[in-house]
Amino acid sequence: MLERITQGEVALSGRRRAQLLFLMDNGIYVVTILLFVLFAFLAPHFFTPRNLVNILISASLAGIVTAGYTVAILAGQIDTSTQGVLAIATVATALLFQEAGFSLPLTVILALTAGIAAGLFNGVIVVNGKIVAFVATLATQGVMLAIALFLSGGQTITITRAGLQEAVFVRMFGIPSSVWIMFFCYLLGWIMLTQTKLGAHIYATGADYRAARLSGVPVDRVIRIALVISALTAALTAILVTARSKQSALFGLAIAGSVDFVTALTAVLLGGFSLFGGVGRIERNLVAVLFLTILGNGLQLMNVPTGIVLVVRGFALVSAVILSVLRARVA
Amino acid sequence: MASGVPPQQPASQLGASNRKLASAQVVQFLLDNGLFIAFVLEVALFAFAAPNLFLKSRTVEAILRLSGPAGIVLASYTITLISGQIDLSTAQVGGMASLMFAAVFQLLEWPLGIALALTVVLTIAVGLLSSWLIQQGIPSFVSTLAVGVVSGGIGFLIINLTNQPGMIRLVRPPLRDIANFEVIGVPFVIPLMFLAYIVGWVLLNHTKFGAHIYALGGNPSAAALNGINAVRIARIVLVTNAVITGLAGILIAGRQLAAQPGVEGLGQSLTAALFAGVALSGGSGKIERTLIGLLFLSTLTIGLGILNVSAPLRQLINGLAFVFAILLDSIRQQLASR
Repeated sequence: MLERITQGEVALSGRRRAQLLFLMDNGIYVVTILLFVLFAFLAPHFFTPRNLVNILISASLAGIVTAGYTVAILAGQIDTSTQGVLAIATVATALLFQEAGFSLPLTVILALTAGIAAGLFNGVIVVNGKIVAFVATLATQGVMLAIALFLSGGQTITITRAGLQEAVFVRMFGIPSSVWIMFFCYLLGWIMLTQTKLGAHIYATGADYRAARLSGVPVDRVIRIALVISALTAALTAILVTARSKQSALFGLAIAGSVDFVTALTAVLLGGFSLFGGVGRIERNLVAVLFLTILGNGLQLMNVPTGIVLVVRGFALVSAVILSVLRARVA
Repeated sequence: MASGVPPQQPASQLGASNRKLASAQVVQFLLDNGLFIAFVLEVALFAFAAPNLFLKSRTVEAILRLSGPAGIVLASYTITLISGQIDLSTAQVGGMASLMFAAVFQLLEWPLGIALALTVVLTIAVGLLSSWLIQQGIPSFVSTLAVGVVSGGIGFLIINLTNQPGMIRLVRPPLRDIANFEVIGVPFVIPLMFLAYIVGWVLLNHTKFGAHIYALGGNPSAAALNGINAVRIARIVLVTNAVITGLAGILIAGRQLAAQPGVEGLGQSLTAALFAGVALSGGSGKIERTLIGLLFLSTLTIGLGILNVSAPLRQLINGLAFVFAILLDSIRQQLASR
């Protein structure tokens, strides 16, 4: 499946190669800062406390999805079902809290359970069905979107009952809770990936599935866990998005910086991860997420038509993919 | 892959292994011909559930009308798939092309030929972008997915730039008549679809290019070692697919009298091809069978519509059909590699 048509290594001297790699790895910091300064001058209301908090919240939401997504990519699984999981979890949150009148903790637990169930479903199709994750999750996404549509009747569910937004979006030390949750996710992810046996297994499975299996790594279980983690963070994000906007979210039209798998995939690739798994460091994704959020937010404030924002988002993904392949060729 | 005559076995191994062989043959037979059986069952089921509504010439016509443009795309999509490339940009490219065409033809009121030419140029550019990305070493499904996001964006951009409310009405005479043109009572897209299939069949089975496509999809490295120009084939196949998808998008828009981003009915090519036994990983499959896969899905859509099944449930059934299709492909691959 992942057979490449052309392969070639770029011939470079050691020093040039090191320079180029340094640029590829750290260029994202420079570009993000440049973009921030650019929008601060160009986009009206960009550099205001209110908007900066807005950016921070949006980035944290996209960041949480990306954290779980990174784990899946590291295990060599390109998960395209994020939008489906988001849809199911947002509808579940809104229905349970608003229509069924469940308590907040119970709503959150059940919505997360829905996410875990979706991840397990992905795992069954990928592992037991022996199907490449990219295609398998593309298929399961269709099923999940249909279930969400079925549950909600195609309607946006508005949450009038008090208590959801107020409880979820508290500020601690002046910073919105979603930002704390994101940092917590990355901390957990960092510990899991670098300090535990599971983390080593995830890297090994992504780097070389066959070699990992032969050396005794429980590859099937690792893939299942990675897909569940990816779905779980998507469900967590959906709860936060729902709480923030006080309605079940629509995931039909996604724009730059919003939460969906295109953003997550772009961020992961910009963060230096290989499309084929096994390499990458989770902390760089944070910057990539911030970059994409600033891009989307700034363009929106400049009143750029949705079409252009969508094209920009597409080209961001294209460039991220090219960058990822270039890096592999240079390294 | 036909199993043919079972190999002769020494008498000592007969018995258990023979039974195993027999059951494997049954599975193989079902995998090869299950689609025909499923199609017959499907028609029988709908005929039984709604005899008064389903068994009408109007229903047959509706199924064929739905299949026409999708079938034209499926013919080239199958060739793409056999060559080892998965194109995930179909729905977006179809939508973008129809919007581009509608903007030039309907809003600017330029001649039909120029509008068509501009649209073809745009779709060629899209196909070139996909194949260029693939050439860089990016798997086709990721390349075409990214190109799909870009194409969807361009479609929206056209709507934004022309200040249209989410779609462009397409009612200017010549196209409207062409899209609904009928030859002896049959919508002309149907013969066009069969023509596409005949061309595709001849190309795959009776030309060197077709043999190269099978070889490339089956084993890219071996094909490259044998001097087959993989990059060139990928480029030709993807550009052709993008252009044909764009033209089909225009035909669909012409029939619906409106161009929209994302075209309904073009997204099922992958499901139809997998149902028909085309391998997801390329290299095998028969193009003529995908026609049955398409008829199966079109009949499902029309039949469920007649039975008044709600939209979410229909979407769920379509989603499950896709899941089932990839599972089928997986079983087929495992049997083949045994």
